[in-house]
Amino acid sequence: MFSNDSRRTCLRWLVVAMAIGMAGGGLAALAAHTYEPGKPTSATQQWPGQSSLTLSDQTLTAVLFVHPLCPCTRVAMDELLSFASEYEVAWRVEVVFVIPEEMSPQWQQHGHWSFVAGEPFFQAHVDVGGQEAKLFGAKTSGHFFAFDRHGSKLFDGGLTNGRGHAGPSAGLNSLAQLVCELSPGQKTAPVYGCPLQNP
Amino acid sequence: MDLLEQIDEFPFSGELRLNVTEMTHQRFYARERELAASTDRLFRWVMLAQFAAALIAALVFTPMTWIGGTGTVHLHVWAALLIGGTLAGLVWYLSTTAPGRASNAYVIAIAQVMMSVLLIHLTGGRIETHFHIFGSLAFLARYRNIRVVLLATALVILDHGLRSFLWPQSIFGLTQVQAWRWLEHTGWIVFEDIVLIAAITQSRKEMWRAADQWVQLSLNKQGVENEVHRKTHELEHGRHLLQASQSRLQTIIDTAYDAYLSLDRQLNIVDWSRRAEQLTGWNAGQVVGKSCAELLALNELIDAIKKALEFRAHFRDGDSPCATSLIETLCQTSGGKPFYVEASWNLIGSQEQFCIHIFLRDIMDRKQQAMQQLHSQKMESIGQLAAGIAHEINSPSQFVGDNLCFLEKAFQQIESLMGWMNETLDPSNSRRVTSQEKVRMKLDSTSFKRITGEIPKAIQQSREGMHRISSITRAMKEFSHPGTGQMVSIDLHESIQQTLTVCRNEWKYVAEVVTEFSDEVSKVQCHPVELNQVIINLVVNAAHAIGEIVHQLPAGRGRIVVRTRLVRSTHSSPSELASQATQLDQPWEAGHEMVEIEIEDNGPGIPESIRSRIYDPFFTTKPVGKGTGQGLAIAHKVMERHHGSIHLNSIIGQGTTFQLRLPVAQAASPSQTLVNVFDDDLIGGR
Repeated sequence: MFSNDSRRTCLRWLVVAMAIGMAGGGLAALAAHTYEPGKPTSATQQWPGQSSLTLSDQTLTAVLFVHPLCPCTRVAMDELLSFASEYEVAWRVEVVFVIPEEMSPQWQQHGHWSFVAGEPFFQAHVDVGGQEAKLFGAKTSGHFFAFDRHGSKLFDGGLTNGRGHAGPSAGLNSLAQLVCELSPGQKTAPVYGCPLQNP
Repeated sequence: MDLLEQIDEFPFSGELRLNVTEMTHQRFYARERELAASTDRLFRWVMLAQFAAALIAALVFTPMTWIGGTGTVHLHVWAALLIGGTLAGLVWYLSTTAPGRASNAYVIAIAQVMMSVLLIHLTGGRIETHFHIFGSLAFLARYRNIRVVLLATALVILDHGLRSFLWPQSIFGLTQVQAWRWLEHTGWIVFEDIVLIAAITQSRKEMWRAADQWVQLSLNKQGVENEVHRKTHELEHGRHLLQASQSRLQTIIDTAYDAYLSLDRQLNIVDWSRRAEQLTGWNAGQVVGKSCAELLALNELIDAIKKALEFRAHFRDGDSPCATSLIETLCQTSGGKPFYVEASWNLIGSQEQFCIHIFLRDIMDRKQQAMQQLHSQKMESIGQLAAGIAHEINSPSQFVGDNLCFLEKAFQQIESLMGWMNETLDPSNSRRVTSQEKVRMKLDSTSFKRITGEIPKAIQQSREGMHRISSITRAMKEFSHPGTGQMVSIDLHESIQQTLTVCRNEWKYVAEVVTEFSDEVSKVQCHPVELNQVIINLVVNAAHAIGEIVHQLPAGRGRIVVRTRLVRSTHSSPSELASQATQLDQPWEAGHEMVEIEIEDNGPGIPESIRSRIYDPFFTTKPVGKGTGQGLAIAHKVMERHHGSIHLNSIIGQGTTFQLRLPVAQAASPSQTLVNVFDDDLIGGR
């Protein structure tokens, strides 16, 4: 009924359609995953008094909760460094490595620990079992908090516009406004990253 | 008919010109297909590299994803593996199964854009990675197909545009962006497209020009090839003709009666025909490259050629051919046996392609015939002279006989007288005393005084008669001797005298012979038998001519003068040398001594009309039985053999003079060894 050439042509187009379809579907799935934020949380509105971290009475206090091995958070820290360099901010970021209870305390030394330890802009802390994270209401790696010297929360949320995606984001926009002593247009932003704790 | 086969129709017809455009199209599209195929193959590897890069990027940057302490393989790794693998596999499949297919470029453009999206994603959407789009477009531009670039651009713009409206966060990181912001990003793509499209358009024009030039070159090449083919065919045909001609020429040379050989400037043998092999016993392999003179002798020929070469170098244009020359010379076989050949030779060719062509003809038979002819003519002369010679011998014989009779009778009378005297003076005889008177009477009665007076005369006459007979027989002996065949030095005057004696009976009744011999002339080198034959022929001719008009002569007798003198050759001008060099029948040089023999008669002279024919064999004006027409022909040949000459001066009514000239001393030549050749030949044949 069909010649060999026709069959080959049909087969070829079938292969092309399937391949393009699969690739397109895959890219769509990838995009969907990338831009799927972490679970929303009820973050604290005031600096938690039980926190072992110190609230600065001079400047803005910034806290970043990170999963030691989350690849997406590394982008957030890179963006933060770029931001600090660009805006010449005077404060530091308290980076809290959340260590699951089941993991040993040395676990935090994998992943981003050495990077953070080498940057004076960051001050590393270890939060075994996620007590600090619970106090602040952080569940996703890359969750950033900003408090004024009175302990009022100015901003909380992610600093990237997707999982591991560099570039402008709502979080960085708000932070820039804060640095410029303006009221941030957006006080929260979705957080993209790995869950800090097992559910 | 293939287009290229129509090139023979140059200049092209209208139809062919259209076809030329079609050929350009064909060539252009073929080149475009080649380019598409090579670009397909290029993308095969580009895709593979991108796939590898995606995988590496995923493994390096996002190997795992975590939920608390539980890590799993990151979705980026799976995306790189599956999406990258699918795209790379698709391109590999297309470029392998149907490279160059038109649809491949479009599919590959889609795949490449998707690969860009994947890589941008895997590298965290960094702005640097967005430049991958520009790189992809540049690579796609290698297809030289604007539609492919436009398709890729359209996909990028569509992706950007749709996402900016539908999902701005995925591009700008913000949920609220200006409506025109996507144009900022696509503007750069469009800018690159403009550049790429301009480049592609230019490139396609150049491809078209290249295709057109290729077609023109192909046409020219085909035309040249056709021309070369035609010329090659002509050359091949010419070569066949030349081969046939050479074969014919070789056959002619090999089957010719004459042997052919050619020499180079050093007189070494270059060519050697089959007939030459038969004639000499040498085969070509033995003689080629060797000296002609050493192998074949041919001394006279070699000398002549050397002189001609010398002359050619000085006086003539080196490239112009000489006239063909003929020379008789002695050759030798491989066994060293000499034989006569007639060599016709010529110098042909320029300085570079110079060649001496020689044809050798075996003339041994002719030489034998000439010898036999000479001998026959001599015998004929002897026959003709026999009666006169007999008469010459008879006259002295008669008076010698008469004298002998007289002497016999005188002896008888003297014997009788002596007997009477013995008896008278015998003492026993009673009548022994005889008076003186009686003795006187007895002597008177026997005519003693007369007898004793006549006897000395008779003896003297007899001695003279015998001397004449002896002279004649000796001359005959000399004349009829076959000769040694060698050049010998003879006393010319004595030889002429003997010749005149032999033929005395031919001239003595019609003329007196006067000899005017120069004291300067004594010995001369010649073949005596042949020279005597020449002289006798000329003297007898002179006597016969005088005999025709002897009754008209005042004294009733004619006059034949045989004169000799010594002269010197005076050739010295280039033209004379040239003449000598080319003819070489008179190898004289200035200053050489020549003997001139003139035989002059006061006969009726030779008419002008027949003078050019007198040396032709068998030409005669004498009545039948008196001459065979060989005399002057033989005289001419003999003088030629002696490197001499024979000239005629004749005035009607006053007489004729034949002037013979021959060198006093002959150059060494094979003629001197003629006897060696002919001794055998004449006796037993060669």
